[in-house]
Amino acid sequence: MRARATRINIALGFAAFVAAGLPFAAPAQAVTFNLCASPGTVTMPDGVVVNIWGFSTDDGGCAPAQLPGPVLIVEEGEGVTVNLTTNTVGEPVTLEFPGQEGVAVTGTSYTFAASAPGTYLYEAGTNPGIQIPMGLYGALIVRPAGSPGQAYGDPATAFDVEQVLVLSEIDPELNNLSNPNTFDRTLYNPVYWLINGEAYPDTDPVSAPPDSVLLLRYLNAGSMHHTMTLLGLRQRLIAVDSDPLVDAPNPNLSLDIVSHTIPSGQTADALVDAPAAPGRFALYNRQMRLTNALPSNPAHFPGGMLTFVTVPAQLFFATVANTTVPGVLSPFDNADIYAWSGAAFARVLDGTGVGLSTTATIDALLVADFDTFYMSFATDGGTTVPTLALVQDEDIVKYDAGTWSLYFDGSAVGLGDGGGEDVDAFEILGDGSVLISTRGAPTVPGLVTPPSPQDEDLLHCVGTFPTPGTCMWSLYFEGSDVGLSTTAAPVDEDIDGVAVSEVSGVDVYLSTVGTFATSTLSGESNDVLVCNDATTGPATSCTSFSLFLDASAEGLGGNIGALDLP
Amino acid sequence: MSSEISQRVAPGSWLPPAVWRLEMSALAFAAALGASAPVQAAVPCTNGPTFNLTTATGNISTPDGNSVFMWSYRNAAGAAFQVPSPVLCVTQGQTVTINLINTALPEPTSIVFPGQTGVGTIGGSPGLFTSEIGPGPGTVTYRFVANEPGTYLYESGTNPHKQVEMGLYGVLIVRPSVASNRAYTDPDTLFDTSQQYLLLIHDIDPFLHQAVERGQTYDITAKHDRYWTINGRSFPDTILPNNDPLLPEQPYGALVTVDEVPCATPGSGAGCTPAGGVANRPALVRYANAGLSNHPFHPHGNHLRVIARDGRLLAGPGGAGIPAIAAMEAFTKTIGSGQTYDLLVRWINEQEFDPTLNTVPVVIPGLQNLVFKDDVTVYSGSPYLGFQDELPPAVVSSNDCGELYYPWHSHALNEFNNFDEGFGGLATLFRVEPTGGCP
Repeated sequence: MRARATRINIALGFAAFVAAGLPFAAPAQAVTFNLCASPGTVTMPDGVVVNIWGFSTDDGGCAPAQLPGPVLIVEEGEGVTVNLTTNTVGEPVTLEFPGQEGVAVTGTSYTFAASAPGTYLYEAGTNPGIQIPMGLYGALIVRPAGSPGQAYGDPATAFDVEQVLVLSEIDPELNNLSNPNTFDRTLYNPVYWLINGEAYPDTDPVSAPPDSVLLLRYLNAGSMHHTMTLLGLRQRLIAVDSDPLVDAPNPNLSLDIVSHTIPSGQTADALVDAPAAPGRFALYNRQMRLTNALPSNPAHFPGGMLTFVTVPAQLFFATVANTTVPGVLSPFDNADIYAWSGAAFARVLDGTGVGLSTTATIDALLVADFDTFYMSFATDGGTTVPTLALVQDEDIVKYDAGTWSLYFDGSAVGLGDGGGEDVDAFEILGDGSVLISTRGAPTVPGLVTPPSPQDEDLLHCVGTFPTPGTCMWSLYFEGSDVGLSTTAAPVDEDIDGVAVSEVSGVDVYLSTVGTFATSTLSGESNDVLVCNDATTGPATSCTSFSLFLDASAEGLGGNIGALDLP
Repeated sequence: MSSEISQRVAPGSWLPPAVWRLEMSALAFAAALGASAPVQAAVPCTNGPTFNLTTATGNISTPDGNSVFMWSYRNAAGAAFQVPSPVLCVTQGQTVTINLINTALPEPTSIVFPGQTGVGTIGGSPGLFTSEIGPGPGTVTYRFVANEPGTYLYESGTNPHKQVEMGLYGVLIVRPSVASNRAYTDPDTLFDTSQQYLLLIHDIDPFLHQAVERGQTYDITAKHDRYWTINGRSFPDTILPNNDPLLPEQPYGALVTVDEVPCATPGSGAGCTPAGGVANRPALVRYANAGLSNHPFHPHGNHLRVIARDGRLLAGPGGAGIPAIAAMEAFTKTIGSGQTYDLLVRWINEQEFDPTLNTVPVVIPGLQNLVFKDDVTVYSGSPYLGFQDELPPAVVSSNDCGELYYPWHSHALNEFNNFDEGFGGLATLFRVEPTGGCP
């Protein structure tokens, strides 16, 4: 979502009412927004720069023009003042507030009472046929008084998360004229289709927590009708043009639908029940306005008016055996990659579907995108990978939208063919360097010893991959420093899965071959533990340990053999 | 009870001048009618809950003598290429399994199930919308529980701007588990199971199809439709029966046929209570728009009761049930791209016009004042349901037994033609037969 305009709250004085002997009434809140209208640019996914005229916030100076304009959020009953403080587009600009009643205009100041909750457009009122396609539009949200967690002051409109979706188009033949007013509007022919000012793949996903209710606020600021379909989920239409279809005590007239046409200038609100399991659900223009510019353009498809409602994964993993994963369709395979949302599981990669044999076993992985995966395999004698023939267990391959390639050639960096030097965990850090752990105690060139690296350690390879693909090795994580060193069945603290979060400090997420016990935490082979706020290097320490996934508590048996963080 | 408005006079017998002009090619219409009258085209089901589909390519025929290259799904076992793809029918609560093999296309494909939730996949590779399967012997499987009855689309989720245009679309029907003679669980959705119709709409730019056929650049931004289809056919081919030998690649007709419903008490007149009983249950019409444009569909001369949208009953005062359902009577419904609707229709003979007992209150034009373009018609020669009468010399009528016909068509009249050859495109006929049907 675009930046929200800053609210300037002005409480009306109490004293005047009391002193005059008038009956005391709770003063209405009032809010003021100061907006600029300025020329600017947006860049389409193909790199084409398009001129726009856009609103932005005036916080003592105009922020750059944005597309769409800032989202204005007010409360039902508030007195709203919108000042168009600055206009540098080169012609007069006025504001319209479709759906608001009694808008009073004094110069460039617009005041009205936000009398009804809902989703509204605000847009250019002068020369709209040019100024609106140029970008002078934005969303105004009116929250119901006293119930901000509902769209319309009715429990049937309650939501957990919301997303404004301003739909629009761009015809660069109009926008990029030095004087857009010379454009022949009968030739209007958009080639960019936008959600919140972006075209896919630059659109933002709509993220919803597991089992949450998501409110989609559609606004069509474009000149054409747009029909939007949600795949894999349903949307419950609760209002059109902020006229609620639910209105207690009248019956619930909301519509549980798949596809909805939002005509030009109209708004619509729909609720979506996000599921428990991780997933991505296409929300897209069913008229197939899913392209950018022309077919000759490398960013042509997929593009356009497309985004995804996403229940994000907290963790990706693979299992050691063909373990049943609750809630996921069988058959189960240790060459599949699964995801966990924090509430439920899903499969994100079907190993045999991408050409791996049923005997392949993934023992290390990284998920880069819905169709891009890095993986290493467990079989000492080699694993057949489409187009790559036999891949060794010390190698890491990349699958990218159907194309397989060798990403990390283990033997080229000093890892041998023996099973002991099987890469059974890896991570790619933010700087592109690679962490690995091996099945046994590895020997790699140039590593300062003692200590000798063990299977419960993480080695750090500084290098660029796939080329030139050489390593400067160092010890990143010494398991025995933090109580991970034992191999005595069922305890086996050999690291078989690793992911590193560098969001704040370094948190190292681990899985072990068997059960594990650090000084403060013990767990199972299918658990994921976290070394929080780690100090890495030969003197490894963890500020604390925590259990990120207690697999058996989530209904997952077996043994996790590979993991990654989103 | 329902309040569908009956037509008071037969169309075709009199029409306000300039409202209707029959602008069809004699050859096309005559060919459509042949020597025998049209017969109803009820929904032909492939029953599940497991389906094996493959991709196929072929050509469809258009009434102006053209052929258009298409892609579609077909049933795997020994089935022929067809447009649209097979109608898949299951019962509520069943686990639906669809195994897809892509034998015929030069690129990967997939199936998405708009309106279904909890769709899982087995096999296939990760695609933009769903798991997909490349050309070759492999299979991708889609599985979900059909929790709710209704009319749903299924279509490609791969390069949909190309593959859905090319014909990779079909309809999935979920029958309520409580009874197969209801559209939904609610008993007020009971319908006459011999009168269940599907109107599956699509739009075609033949130059896009030609580009695919010739391996040329596919430019969806230049889509400019010339053909519009219902169940894969353009009018007047829509009125031919299912499996007509003239249209081997387009097996589904779109003629909607009902029997008249009399008043419960004869002579009640306008607004009468229609007769009840199994024989007088409404016909069920399922609309689905697989096209890339929104289409305003107009059942000319009739109001239909819209009972559901996108596979869910429309709720109303009281929460459920006709008459509690706040279903709309509509004479034009814009079916948005990707939408489905379910409608009930009855033709109630409120007026009981009769040549001797209750004549129509207009002067019937004399034969010498009637003109039928190209000298073909479906008109019986008489405005009275069940009666036939003289037609001008040389006019050929394929009317069977005095049944009535209404054109049902897109009200975007630019879609009412076949590549600019008039009276074609997105249209079919509604046929009302006298009580008991034509013999």
